[in-house]
Amino acid sequence: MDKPDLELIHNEDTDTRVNQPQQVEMPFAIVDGESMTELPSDLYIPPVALKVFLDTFEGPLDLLLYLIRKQNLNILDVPIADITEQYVNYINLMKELELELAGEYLLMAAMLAEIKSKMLLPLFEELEDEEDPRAELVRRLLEYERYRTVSEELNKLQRLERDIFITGVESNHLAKPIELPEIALQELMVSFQDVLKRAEMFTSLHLLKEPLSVRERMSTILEKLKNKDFLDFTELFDFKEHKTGLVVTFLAILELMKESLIEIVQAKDFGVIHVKALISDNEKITEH
Amino acid sequence: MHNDKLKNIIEAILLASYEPLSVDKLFKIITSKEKTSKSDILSAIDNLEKDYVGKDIEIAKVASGFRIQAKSEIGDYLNIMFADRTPRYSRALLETLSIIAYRQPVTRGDIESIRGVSVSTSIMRILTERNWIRIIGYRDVPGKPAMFATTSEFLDYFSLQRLEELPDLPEKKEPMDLDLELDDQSINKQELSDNSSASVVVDSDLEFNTPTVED
Repeated sequence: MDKPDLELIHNEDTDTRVNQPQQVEMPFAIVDGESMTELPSDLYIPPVALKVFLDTFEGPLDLLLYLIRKQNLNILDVPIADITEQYVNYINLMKELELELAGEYLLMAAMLAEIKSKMLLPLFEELEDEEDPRAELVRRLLEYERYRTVSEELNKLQRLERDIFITGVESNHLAKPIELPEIALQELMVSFQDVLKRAEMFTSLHLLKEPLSVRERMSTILEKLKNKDFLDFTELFDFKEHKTGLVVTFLAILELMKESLIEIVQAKDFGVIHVKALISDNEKITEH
Repeated sequence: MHNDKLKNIIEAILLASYEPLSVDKLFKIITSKEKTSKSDILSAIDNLEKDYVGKDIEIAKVASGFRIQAKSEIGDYLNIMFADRTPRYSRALLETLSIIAYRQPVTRGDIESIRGVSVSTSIMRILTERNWIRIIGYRDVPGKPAMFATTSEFLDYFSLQRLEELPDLPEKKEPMDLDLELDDQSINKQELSDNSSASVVVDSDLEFNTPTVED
């Protein structure tokens, strides 16, 4: 993996951050029995250097692994406040370049801050089972590292077009030309008709958008049946309407049946179907 | 059929074919004109292999069958010839491919949770177009995400016959083992605990000391 071998530039900003919290005075870590009151300045990556990193990292996990390795950080002693700052710098740079990516780094920065805040809380003995707040992050880092490592191994495998090339000879002396099936004009027509049919289906789909209400149609039918003994079933349909309209009328008739507002009678087999209103003229049609 | 004749036919067929051919396929092709058997074909391939000893081409067996290829030793020459045509694959692509190869079947979500970044559509497109991965089904969870797996073309490309031939995935580590190992992956825990000169001090619960394991 080609990581830029950057000399971490000593950045003056780190030292001039006088408004650092009082924490600075306290040992924030004990390394080999020595208490550390200051962060090693080379933990800070100046924005200029970060720009170089842009192309080389594959995400927050990758960057974090790099920081841990390169700077001899113990993953369990990551100075999270500092790393968070580096992340924010990184994100600022990325804003212009890849906003989508920046989000993932931002999430990681938030996670780091959360871990730090959890760690500041005292540990109670009764909560001993509680996992170290860093465990989940560490687990993810380790899991990612496995695949990152193995992808480097995969890259080393002998592969075509780089290490190995397929040999070949021209074999243009094909005795048998490839026979393409003949297509009769008629088949083409049939296929085209299918296409037309399908296209038609789509046009009728649009009709569904017409504001047709079954309720409204029920009223219309009752209106038609008013003052009449009965009507021929077919008379209820308006054949100028599209299929959808006819269906709505049919649904309306069924609905009226269900609500016992009409009666449908057929005098003999295959005979004319008559529709009759079951309410008298003076009765009011009540809408539901 | 005479052995040498069969050998020559197989050689020509393999050279004319731009993809590996299995014994079954070779048998199908040859048997349509000449009487032969699969074991004859195999031994002819064996003989052909011997012919190539000392040459810079060879017969290789990969997932989809046999192919004749230029040995990797002369890859450098060929790379000069094909200078601009050698495809380069990004780390992101290789990482994505590795996760699919080792963890298949995986969904995009699986890949994302391991890599910590969203899966790039263009990478998935390249992998699909190269025929290295394909969708083998849909996981029965909300959203029915597609599950990806590698193909035999993927194995062919990396000169492998089976998935098991892939380099071993590093062993899974638990965070418990971690505190001593991250600075130098090659040092195992046993060595560290035996080595008293490595000044590792483990004290309170909250103070995780940085061991000075430097190279």
